[in-house]
Amino acid sequence: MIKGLYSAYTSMEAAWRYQEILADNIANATTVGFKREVAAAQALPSLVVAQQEPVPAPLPTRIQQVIGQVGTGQFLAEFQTDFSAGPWKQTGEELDLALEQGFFVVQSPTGERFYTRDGRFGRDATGHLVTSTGLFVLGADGQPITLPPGRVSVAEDGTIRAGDAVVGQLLVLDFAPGELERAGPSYFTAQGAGTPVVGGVHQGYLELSNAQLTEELTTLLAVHRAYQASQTVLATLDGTLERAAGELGRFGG
Amino acid sequence: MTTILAAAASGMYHQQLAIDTIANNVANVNTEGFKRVRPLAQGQPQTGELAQAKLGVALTTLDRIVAPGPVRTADNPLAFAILDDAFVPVRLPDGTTAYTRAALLRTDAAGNVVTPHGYLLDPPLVLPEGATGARVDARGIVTATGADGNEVEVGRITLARFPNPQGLLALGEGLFAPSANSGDAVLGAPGEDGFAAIAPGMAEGSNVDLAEELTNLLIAQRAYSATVRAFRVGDDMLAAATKLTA
Repeated sequence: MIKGLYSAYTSMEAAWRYQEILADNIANATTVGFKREVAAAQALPSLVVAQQEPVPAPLPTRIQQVIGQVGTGQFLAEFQTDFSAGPWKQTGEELDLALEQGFFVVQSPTGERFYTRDGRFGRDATGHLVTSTGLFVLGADGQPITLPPGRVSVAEDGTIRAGDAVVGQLLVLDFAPGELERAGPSYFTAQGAGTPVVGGVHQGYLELSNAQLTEELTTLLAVHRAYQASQTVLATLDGTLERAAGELGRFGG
Repeated sequence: MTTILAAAASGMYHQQLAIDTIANNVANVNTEGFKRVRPLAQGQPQTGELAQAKLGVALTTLDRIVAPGPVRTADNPLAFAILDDAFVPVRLPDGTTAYTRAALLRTDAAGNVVTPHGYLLDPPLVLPEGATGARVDARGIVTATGADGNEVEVGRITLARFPNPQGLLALGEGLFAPSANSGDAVLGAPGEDGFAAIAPGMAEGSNVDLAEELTNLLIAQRAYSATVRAFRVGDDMLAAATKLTA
C-alpha cells in the first residue's frame, strides 16, 4: 500500500520534471539556434517480491519462493539535447550566419568559451564581431575578429572579406554529442577541444529553433494527463489507507 | 517548483514584445526613411547552476535593420536618397545632433534647408536672401537660384556614418542618436571619403515588407497561444498537487 503511494509520487515527480523541459522547449520555439531537450522516461527496476518465510523443503538450500513482481514507479533517467538542425530562415542580413555543421566559438570577457549555433552577430563600437550580449566571436587564430567599417562578405569556408581584402576567418568547431553540456538556452560548453570544420558557413541565414510546437504541445498534454492519473491514484490510495486506519478496528458500527 | 510557469511566462513576454514591435513596423509601412525592427528570441550563455535551468527565453534582441528601403522619385528638388548606410546630421532645438535617413529636404520661410519635421541641418545650410529655388546634385552640392536668376553655390550636404549603425538609439520622427554601442559618427561628403554619391530628386521609402511582417505576426500569435497553454497546464498541475490531501 505504501509502496503504491511511492510509485504514484515518483510518477508525478517525473511528469513534473518532464513538463519543465516541455515548457522550456515551447517558450523557445522561436529562439535562434535553440536545441530542444528530450527526456527519456524509464521505469525503475521492478523488485522481486519474495515470501519472507523460507519454504520448508527437503532441500539442502532453502529457496525463497518468488510470488511475483511489483513496479516501483517511474523516473526520468536524464534529459538529452536533441542536436538535430532547426529550419533555416533567409534574412539577407550581413552578419546573420548559419552553419551546416559544427558550432561558432564565442568568448566572454573573462575568457570562458561557449559554443553556439546562434549566428546572429553584430559589431560593437570598436568593430569587433560580437553576439547580442557582447561576447567576442573567435577567429581561426583563437582571437576576436575585428571588422572594418562598411559591408563585409562571408564566404562558405568562413573567410570574411571587406572588398577583396581578407579580414578574418571564422572558427567553427564540431564535437561529439556527449562532449557538450548545456550552458543556458542555445549555448554549450565542451569537455574536449573539438575538431575544426571548414565550409558550410552561409551568410544571410539564421538557424531557428528545432522545437516544433505541435509535437511539444502534444507531449505536454499527454504528460499532463499522466500527472492527473497519478494524482488520482495517490488520492485513492490515501482514501483506502484512511479507511484501513479509521474503520478497520472499529467495534459495533 | 514554479519553473514551468516561469518558462511559459518568459515565452509570453517575448511574443508580446514581438507583436508590439511588428505592430510598430506595420504602422510605419509608409514612413519615409523608416527602418524596421526585428524582434529575435535568443539564448544567453550561463554558467554554474543557471546553466541547466529551464527558464525559457533569455532575451529579446530588437535589431534595427538598416537595409535600404525602396527608392522612388520625389517632387522636391532638394530631396535626395542616401544610397549607402550613411545618415544626414540634423541639429535638434536643444543644440544636440541627431541623424536621419529621411532626406526629403525643403526650405523653410527663413530660407534654411530643413528636414520634413523642420529641423536644421548640422552644419546648417541657408539660402541667400530672395532665392527663388534650390537644388542638390549627386555630390551633395546645394545650388540656389538667386533673385537675379543666377545660380549660387550655397554649400555641401554633410553625411555621417557609424561603425555599428544597428547600435543607434531611435528618437522617433525618423531621428537617431549615437550610443556607446554605435560608435562615433564619421563625417564626410557624398561621393568622397568612401561615401556613396546621393540620388537627387529621389526619396527612400520604408524598408518594411508587409507580407513578411504579417507572416511574423501569425507565428508570434501562435507561439503566444502555445506558451499560454503551457502556463495553464503548469497552473493546473500546481493546483492538483495542492489537492493531494483533500
